[in-house]
Amino acid sequence: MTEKDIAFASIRQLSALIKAKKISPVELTKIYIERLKKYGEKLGAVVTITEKLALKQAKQAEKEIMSGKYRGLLHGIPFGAKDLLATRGIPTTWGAEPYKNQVFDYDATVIKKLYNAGAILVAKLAMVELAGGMGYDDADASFTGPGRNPWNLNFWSGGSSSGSGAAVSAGLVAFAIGSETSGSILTPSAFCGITGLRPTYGLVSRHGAMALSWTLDKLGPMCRTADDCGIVLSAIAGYDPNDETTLKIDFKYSTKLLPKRKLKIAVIKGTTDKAQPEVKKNFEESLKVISEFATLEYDVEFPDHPWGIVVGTIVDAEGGSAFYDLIISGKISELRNKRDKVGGYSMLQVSAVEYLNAMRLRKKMRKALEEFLSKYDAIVAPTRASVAYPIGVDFDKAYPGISGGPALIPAGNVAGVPAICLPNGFGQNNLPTSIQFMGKALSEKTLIQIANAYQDRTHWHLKRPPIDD
Amino acid sequence: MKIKRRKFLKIAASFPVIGSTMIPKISSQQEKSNDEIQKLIEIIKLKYGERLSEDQMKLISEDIEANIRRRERLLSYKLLNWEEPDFKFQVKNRG
Repeated sequence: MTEKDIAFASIRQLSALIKAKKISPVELTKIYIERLKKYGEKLGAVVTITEKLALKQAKQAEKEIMSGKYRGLLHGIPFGAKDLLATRGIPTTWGAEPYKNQVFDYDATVIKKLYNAGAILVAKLAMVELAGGMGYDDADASFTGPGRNPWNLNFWSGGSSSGSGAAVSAGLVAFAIGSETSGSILTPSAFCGITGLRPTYGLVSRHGAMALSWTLDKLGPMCRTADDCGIVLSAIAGYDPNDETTLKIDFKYSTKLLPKRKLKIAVIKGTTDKAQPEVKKNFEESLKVISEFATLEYDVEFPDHPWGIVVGTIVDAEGGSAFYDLIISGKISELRNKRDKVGGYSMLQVSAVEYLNAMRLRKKMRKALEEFLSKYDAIVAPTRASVAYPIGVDFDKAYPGISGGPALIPAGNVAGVPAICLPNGFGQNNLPTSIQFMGKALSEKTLIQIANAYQDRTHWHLKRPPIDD
Repeated sequence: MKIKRRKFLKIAASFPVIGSTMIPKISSQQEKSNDEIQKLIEIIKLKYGERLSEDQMKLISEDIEANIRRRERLLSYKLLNWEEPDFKFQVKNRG
């Protein structure tokens, strides 16, 4: 295997190499640090390379593995964390100028759990400032500049977990942690051609993570394969007394799982009507593959509720509260994006009644979606109706007339249910397209099984961006 | 990524008509909304105007307008008196 092959290998492949002592954690860490230095800035993907800490952790992992103390599949595996996760003694910038010197004296629970699993932190990864909560309208919305797509540098890597998407896609880390309030794991995963998993709300502790919306925020893995997502989720899931919203449920995943029976999957009606032609074509091709291992029910109507209205009201109310001090102090003007500089003012005008009505509607909508999802093992749709947006163009001017039909991403987030997305081909400008599977609460294992079955039959997740060429 | 406010106006227009009968007729509604938008802009000018440019006030007024449209849609959905929000206050016995 060349160094490049190693950089793009899956966690399962890397852990086999480490366990067989064919590569050491120190060697592996050095490969990724080299690539982070070479490509991180070019991609606008990196805030801090944690070289000193990483080499210390790698040496420790090497020592333990050599002495026979193997912790598991993540032992000695380098990863990156979205820069909204607290890491002791290392800047945690939330992607935003006003916080660029912020340093915490503790580690987020997710970080601690990954350290306990033997994983090695190599970088804090770039993100849209404040996870996009202030209403940014183009790719230039981070104090590190726009996140660039490894498949085509003139295009955006997606948001808000921009650096996590680009770094995994470009082989700068073995995996990354992202966060999603409404689309921030799925969108950059889709745009960068990687596999991203949004877990059920409460499955992963958010202690030590920047809060944008307490009732919507979730943390999850962004990896090269669905199997890898299972491995990472297994390490980070579980109850945490420091986060009262966590469920007293673990998630166990070690061997690669495939569906044990023919699953029933709903194809949501209207998701490709206004999508880009390549998105539609690739989706139709994907359905042929999925039909090899699942029974597809076509033209299924998605529950019709005001998903976008409710998620927007909740984000504005909770985000306005979470960043109240930043807004009223005027320091919000230090943000980069023109809309982010002022977005907070109107957020403060959302009334208590609006917020409460949104949360009252949410209960009905969540129940309706749960009932709908309980009829299927999963539903399937394109993750995004278009490929990544061009840098330097307002989002609403990028692809006029293109839209995705039913609002699956807001719906899934309002209801707190899981979804996994994976690459399924290429569209305009050599940019990846993606499909998503969404299921009922705590159906992560089923979603991973489905995605594993798809990736066993396709090669899209193995494609490498032309960044090394 | 959340829905941008200006874009919301366009998206909201394509939503199904559930609850739309609750919205007053467009002409008087529009007039009242415009008045309200102006008042809400004035409040922001009063509180934070010194630090905001004209271009920024224009962006804020777009945000306010979109929020008002969103609020009209949101509050048009019928809720029954006892329908609670999707979170619960809970007293914990730690004794």
